Amino acid sequence: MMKKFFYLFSSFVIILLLSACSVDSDAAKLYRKSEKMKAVIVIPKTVNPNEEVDLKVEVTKEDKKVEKLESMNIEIWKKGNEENKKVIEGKRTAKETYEVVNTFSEDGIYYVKAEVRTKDLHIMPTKQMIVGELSEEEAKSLEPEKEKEDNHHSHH
Amino acid sequence: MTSEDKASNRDKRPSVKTSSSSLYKTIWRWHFYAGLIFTPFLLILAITGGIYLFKPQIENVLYQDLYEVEDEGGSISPSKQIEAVTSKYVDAHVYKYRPSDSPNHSSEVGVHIGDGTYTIFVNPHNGEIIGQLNDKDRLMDNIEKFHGELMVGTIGDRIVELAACWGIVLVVTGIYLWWPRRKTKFWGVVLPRFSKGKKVLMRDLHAVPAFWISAGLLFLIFTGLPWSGLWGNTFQQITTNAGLGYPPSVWVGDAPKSDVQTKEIADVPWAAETMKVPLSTSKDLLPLSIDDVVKVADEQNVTKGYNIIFPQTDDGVYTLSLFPPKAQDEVTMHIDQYTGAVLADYRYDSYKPLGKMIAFGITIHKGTQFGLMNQLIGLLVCLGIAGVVLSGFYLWLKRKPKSKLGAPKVAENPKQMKTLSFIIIIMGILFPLVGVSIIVVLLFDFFVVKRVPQLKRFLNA
Repeated sequence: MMKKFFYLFSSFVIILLLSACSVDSDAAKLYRKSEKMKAVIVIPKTVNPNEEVDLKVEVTKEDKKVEKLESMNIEIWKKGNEENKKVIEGKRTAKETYEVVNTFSEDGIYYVKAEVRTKDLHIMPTKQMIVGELSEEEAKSLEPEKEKEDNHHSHH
Repeated sequence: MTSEDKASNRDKRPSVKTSSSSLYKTIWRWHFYAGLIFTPFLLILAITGGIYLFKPQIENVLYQDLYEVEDEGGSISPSKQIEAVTSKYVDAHVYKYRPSDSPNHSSEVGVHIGDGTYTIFVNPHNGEIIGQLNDKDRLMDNIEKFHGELMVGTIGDRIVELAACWGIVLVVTGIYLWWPRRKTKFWGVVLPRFSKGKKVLMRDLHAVPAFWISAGLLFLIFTGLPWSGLWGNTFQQITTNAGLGYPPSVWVGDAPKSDVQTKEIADVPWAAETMKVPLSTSKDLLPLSIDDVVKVADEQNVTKGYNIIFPQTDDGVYTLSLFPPKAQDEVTMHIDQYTGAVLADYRYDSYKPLGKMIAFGITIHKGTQFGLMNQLIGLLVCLGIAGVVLSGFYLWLKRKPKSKLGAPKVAENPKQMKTLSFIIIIMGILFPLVGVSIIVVLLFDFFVVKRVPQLKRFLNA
């Protein structure tokens, strides 16, 4: 009787231990899941100053349709001029597409930020864009930064 | 005469070879050796633990000048606070930011400079740098390191784990030895006997307090074990994988990854001529500013006091980590570093039952869950453990014959050995380090002790 119990117990423990080598990559599925929303900012390849430009934002959700957004605003500002941000409300032009029209007065590097809100979700991706021609200084500023040495800290 | 008196007068009476006396002696022998070997470690655990219980109060005094700021109103954005740090410490690499959690409290910026890790304290109202702290110099962190791994890393962690598991053996065997032979016994069981002479008193001063704190000691061991490097990590991985414990990334397991949208290299026209200049990265989107991360945290109702850990790779995430005094307020949140989407929101409520138990066990173990009372009761148990350890040591010193170790001698009883071996094997499997140490002892016993007569005599083997 004891022997049977012992064998049962040890096999149980061994099976348990085999699952303990590492955490399964899909273990997260067993816990609370968060809905993921994605927004792709579409900017035309060439943008010239003093012209009307169409900026599009395509909003998608992982497995579900995106319901009507609570708000979709685009923030535009020139690099180095963070204090002056232009905010334009996006207009829904298709099921998952919102558009704004903007005119850029100067050449240079700009940032476009899409603030997308539904009732429960909020994302704010930012994309860089170039208007007209850049000065030598501006073009140089786009070159890759020298990588700082990354000290690997121990896990928290 | 009762069995306890028999034990204390062992050297005077002829040994009675009843089966219960033989079992008693065997269990006493285990208790004796476990105690002799592991009490130094249990003492270290009790002393360091007792101090660490008061970490909040101690750190509030030690670092008062770094923590406290005047509430002068107004505030500087997180990004500007961090900018103040990086402009002063030019070689610093920021890896962590802890926003101020009250108008009287500073913000903390965690940086790596060279090989060192520092926390820079910033005034959130005016962006002034208050001071810095080298992580190496944090007293309570060092005490915690001593407590958890004897300050010697992995091998220390295993020794502490081993000592804690053998602590279980000590309590279980101790309870067997203490158990009153007559049901109505009070003195020598629940209270020590002061009137039966010094020897009885010394024994009672070990066994009776030990009984009182045994529940506390077992609680500390069982709540500390999920923390340990071997048993604890394995236990965490089993429970997380089974969907019963912590969600992944809170203790073990990986965080989700950020969505990296790549794009083609573009032509960058510039004034002089049109030249192909590869843009700074192949990523399409810019990383979120720290101000937006704090905004997301506020929107998600994460109470201030959290740490924001910066992503280390292109597909890394911003991780919000809040481990407050009460377990039910814990938050681990992962935010996409480009879009600010909340990829995972793991609060205490999303822990499964075993995860909740472990979390609660930890905060009670650390003395933070129930405030000052928790700390004081913890301290009492730590003092009790130290007292029991020292009184046990004293008992041994008094009993020890000159040329021998003083271990109780046992005549082998095959019937009892079977049940005992069975229990030992189960313990060895449930607590693998104990199992390994028992095997080591058995091998040592068979190959060395039994063959060296002086050793055999000394150890009463």
